[in-house]
Amino acid sequence: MPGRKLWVAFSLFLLVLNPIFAYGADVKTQSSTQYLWYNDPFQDKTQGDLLQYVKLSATKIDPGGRFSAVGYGRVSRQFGSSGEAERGDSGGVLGRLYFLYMNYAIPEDRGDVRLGRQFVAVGAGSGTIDGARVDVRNVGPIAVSVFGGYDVRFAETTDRTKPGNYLAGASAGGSFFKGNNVEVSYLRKYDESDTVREMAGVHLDQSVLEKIKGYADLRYDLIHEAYGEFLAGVKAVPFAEKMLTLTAEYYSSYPSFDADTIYTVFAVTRYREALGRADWIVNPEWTVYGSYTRADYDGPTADVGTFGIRNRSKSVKGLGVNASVDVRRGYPGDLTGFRASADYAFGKKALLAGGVSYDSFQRDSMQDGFKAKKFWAGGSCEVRKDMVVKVRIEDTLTRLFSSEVQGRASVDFSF
Amino acid sequence: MKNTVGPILALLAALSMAAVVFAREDHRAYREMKLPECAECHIGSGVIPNHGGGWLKEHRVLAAGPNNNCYQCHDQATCQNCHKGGGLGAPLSASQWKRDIAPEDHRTDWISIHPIQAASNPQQCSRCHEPRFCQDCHAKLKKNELTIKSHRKTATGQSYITLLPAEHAAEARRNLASCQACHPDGDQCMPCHSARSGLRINPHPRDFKGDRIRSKTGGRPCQVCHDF
Repeated sequence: MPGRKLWVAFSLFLLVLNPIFAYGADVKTQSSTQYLWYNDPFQDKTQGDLLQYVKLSATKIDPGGRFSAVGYGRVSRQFGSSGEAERGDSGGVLGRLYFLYMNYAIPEDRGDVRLGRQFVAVGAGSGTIDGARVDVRNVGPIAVSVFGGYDVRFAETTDRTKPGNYLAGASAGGSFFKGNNVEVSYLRKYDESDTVREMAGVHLDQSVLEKIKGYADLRYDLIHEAYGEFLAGVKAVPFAEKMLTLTAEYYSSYPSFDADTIYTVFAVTRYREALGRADWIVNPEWTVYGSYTRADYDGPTADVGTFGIRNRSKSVKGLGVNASVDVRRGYPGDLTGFRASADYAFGKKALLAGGVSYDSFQRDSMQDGFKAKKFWAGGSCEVRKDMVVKVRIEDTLTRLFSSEVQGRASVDFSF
Repeated sequence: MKNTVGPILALLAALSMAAVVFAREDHRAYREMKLPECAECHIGSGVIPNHGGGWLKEHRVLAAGPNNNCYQCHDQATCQNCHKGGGLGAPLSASQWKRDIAPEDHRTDWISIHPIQAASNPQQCSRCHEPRFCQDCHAKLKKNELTIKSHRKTATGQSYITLLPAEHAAEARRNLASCQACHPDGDQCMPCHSARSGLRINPHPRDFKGDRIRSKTGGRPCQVCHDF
């Protein structure tokens, strides 16, 4: 059924494209036909999915070039499984439409008017709607966004909308002094026509002396009259010649739920964290980053550290290397992880890549720790100017299985 | 009336000036540049570089503002691929969960590790997943397969939840979403927390604004436990 809806949507989109082609619009299509195989941990058997992704973009539809249309979605069919139709394990056709909208660009980059399925995000929250959005910018220091429509809810296998589920919101913000940004936003979500979430957002940031930026961001829950999230931080670039960015942040949040569940009325405790991070672009070849976070779960605590490097070699042209170490100690478990990957580009036509991951972890509820390992390799090759073939395979040692092999092979077209 | 026209015109003029003075650079021309090249210009012009090591976590605040300029380099597929598992143009380094592409922060053996992450910042999972996403998987598990501390049996056969109710309360307050993953309707909470029957233990916070919640939501969550 969802697959049928997707086909209907895409058919409508193609109907819209007919006159577009007639007017000589600039139409770009990206397509990816993929076969994915993986182990279903609940059934302990290998399954496979055939997926077809399509992304379409039509610009210069009208003589003034103000109208455009974009769409992105997929249909899939699973093989090698049985039962559980509701969860997409039936072998039936499933669909997911990510976005499909017409856009009108207001002259002089003063904003956009969008109609259709689209991703929306404001400081107070985000979501996907089947509806309309109007953005107005560059008409003064204040930019304004207003949107509303059916709330699209993505589940494991598909997307769903139904009458009574709506999402609406607005935001306004601007720059009133040099290096300054102020934004206020509002979001309201309905389930079966009842309000289940009503949030307000406030954001402030100010750059000082071209080297320091302070910022604060608040999400306030208007139903419970309590804040949901608060973030305050400072970023600094202390040296003029060195590309070193230092960040210090304080973040605090409460668990929050849609007000159609009983969980929305339960007492919850606050989560807090303090973070320090450094990002250093040593030179065009090397990037180094590291962070330390102290997390507080209203009693129990955790210390989390990350260190990583990225290298894009100049001496071996086409070689890139990434590596990172993550260490976590405390509630609700310990983890020591290492990840490394490398890729090598043979000109612009082909790419080989591979990597390893290692995670030694022990949750508070586990009697013993476990060491998970993953090895992966893949490659892509431009067979023709408009056609790329990709293959990726990975093998993972998990708590449940000594070898979980999964992968994907795809043929991508772009024209 | 005459007295208001002047200030309004002055305000409009000031706003227009501000729009020109503080107009942001159009980044479309720099779309294909490497990040170190971006930073060279950003630092020189006093704009703090972004897209660094913590970008996965910190992009939310920049992307949500009405003045964001993400659209100059990215289309909505960038958002949806990461938030909703889209796989067109997925990098070779990206792993997958069934038919969806998984984001970078979903580590090795994510089924076993995700409870650590889920118990961390309580807002993190819900930025991409509906509660139904958790329920779809947890519904497939057998009753005794999860080893949540408060659900374990003691040597005498009693569950911790009975023996140490305070520990259950603390665990639930910290990570209530994990309760919802297995008990979407909260039926298991009723014997102790309903106002109609059972132990009638009040689960609400100290400064609970019941009337407000009731008026805003039409009383939908209240009616689970209360008669109105």
